[in-house]
Amino acid sequence: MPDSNISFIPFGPQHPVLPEPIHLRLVVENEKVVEALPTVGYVHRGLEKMVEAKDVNQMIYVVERICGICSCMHAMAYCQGIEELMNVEIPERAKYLRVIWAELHRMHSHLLWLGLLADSFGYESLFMQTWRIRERVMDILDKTAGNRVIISVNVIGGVRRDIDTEMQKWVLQSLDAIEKDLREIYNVMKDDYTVKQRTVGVGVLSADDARELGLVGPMLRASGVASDHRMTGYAAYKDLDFEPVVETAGDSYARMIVRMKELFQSIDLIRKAFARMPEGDIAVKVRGNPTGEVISRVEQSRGEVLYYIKADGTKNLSRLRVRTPTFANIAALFKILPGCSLSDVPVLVLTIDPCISCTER
Amino acid sequence: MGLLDKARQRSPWLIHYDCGSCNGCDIELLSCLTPLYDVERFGIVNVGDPKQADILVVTGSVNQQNKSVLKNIYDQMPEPKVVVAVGVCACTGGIFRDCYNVVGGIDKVLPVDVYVPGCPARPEQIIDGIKLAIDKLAQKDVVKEEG
Amino acid sequence: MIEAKEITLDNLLSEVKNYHDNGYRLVTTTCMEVDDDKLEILYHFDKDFKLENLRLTVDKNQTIPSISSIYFCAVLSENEMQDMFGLKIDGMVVDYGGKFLLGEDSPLSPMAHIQIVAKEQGENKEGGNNA
Repeated sequence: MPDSNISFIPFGPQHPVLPEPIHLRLVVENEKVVEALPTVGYVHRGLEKMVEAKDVNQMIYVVERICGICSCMHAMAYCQGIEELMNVEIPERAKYLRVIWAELHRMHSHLLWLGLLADSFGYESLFMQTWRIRERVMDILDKTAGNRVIISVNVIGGVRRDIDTEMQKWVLQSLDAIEKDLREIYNVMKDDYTVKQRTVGVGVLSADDARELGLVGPMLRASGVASDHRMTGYAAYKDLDFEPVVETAGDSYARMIVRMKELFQSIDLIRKAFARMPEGDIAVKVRGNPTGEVISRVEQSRGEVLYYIKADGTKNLSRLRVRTPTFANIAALFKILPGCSLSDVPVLVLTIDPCISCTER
Repeated sequence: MGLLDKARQRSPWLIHYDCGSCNGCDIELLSCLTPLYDVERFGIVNVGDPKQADILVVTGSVNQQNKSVLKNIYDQMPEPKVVVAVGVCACTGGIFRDCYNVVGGIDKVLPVDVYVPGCPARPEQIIDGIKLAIDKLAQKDVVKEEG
Repeated sequence: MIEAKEITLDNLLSEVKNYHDNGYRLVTTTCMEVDDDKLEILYHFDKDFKLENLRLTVDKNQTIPSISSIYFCAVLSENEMQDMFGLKIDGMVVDYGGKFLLGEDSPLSPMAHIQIVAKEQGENKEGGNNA
């Protein structure tokens, strides 16, 4: 075969299916992708260096803006790290409240992703449906925390707001309605011909591949590895018995099912958290500056995030390193893109649930 | 007023580019397109091709790598065109202003017509901003005709 | 302080290989500046939620071997370290040449020389002179 069948196709940074800029350099032979090189850097701001300009408390707002989608869980990981450094034990109620807001964030993130996936293979009505359900979750966030996206409830030593009994009742009612709508969508998505055609057997990763590539979160769980950092029982997760959602097929369909089932799991966890939440304070006063180094890990909607914090007793930290879940998952693109057909590229890029602003910080 | 100008005001097409945003404004902008806020009732359609777009909506601050991409998208759009900066980062650089890789607000690279503040901007604010942009588009049509 | 096993350039690859063969997942690598001419690199490995760390201290002008032939996913964080600290890494499977996260006009190795850059940040974006 002559070389003339080979062509280079740039994909992105501005592309209709991508809400965020990522550039892929695809080497294509006829319709088949032979090589793919993801290039990032279009959203890189340099937030890790902000520790020099902002103090320990101000950094909460900076880490929340690493990514607007999982902002609450970024702040949670950061605050838990600082609290561990300073030996602060936060009140039980604050731990439950953190779990509730974190799970709400997981729900809105997964719903957002489902919509984008549906959009990537042209299933417009499903996109609209999932985002319609998502608005209810946003309403809950808006009412309980005061903002829709970046809610800034975490502070060092606890949380900023409480959810009273009346509000709890309303949240639980909303969750019932969300669950009913989700069931409908779930039944459509799991058996739908269009969805299956585009996802089953696409981008298969075995458990060994997934571990080798250092994948995290739903990517790892869809390949049959039961790894969910919530199992370590940080915050209040130790009292909320649950099992990680695992699928074994390792393809895009399995990843979709994992995320859909996690939506129901999150609803379940929020219900349990409301039922078991004790009365009491929501924050303790924290004085002084942290010293030492610590690693804090939290399971975000896209997988495990790692915060490395090094402090020297001054009001500014000396090093903050954030390994976000997409930074690990982007390695999967090197593996699943070669060999796929060109029309599957958008689906495969979305299947890792890319969050580029997380990746580049 | 020609038919084309009328059509442009009744149904402006927008293109969205995420510069260096944290995603907060992006997902709020996408929320505007979905059933609850539904900007399609104003005839607004989100397109992926800059050559078909009238309104450029930019979220996030400009950084060293994407300033050329942003300029490129703007240059590809046909006249008349308006630029909407959504979120405080797009307006001034916001919380990222001091970062080493950030140039600043998008007005460092492009002429901006409408500024929508907020971190992140709420969907109602964004719709308001886009409505304002449509009025600006109408003004630009008039200027073009007279000039 | 986190627990970390001190290693040297000589036994880096064999230690990493050891973790790989025992089924550990590479979480990431973290680089930080110790003083003006030393860098510290932490390699984090995870197995069953337990984190193991390796700590390597090198001179800034020293070239370190890449572990990406053992763990492919290390290319991402190694490229990041190369960008941010100007660290020289030998034998990366995919080398972005110092432009992984940074653009053409970005400052060079911005995370190095922490104090100096912090002062210059206000008026001069060119901070972070390459060590």
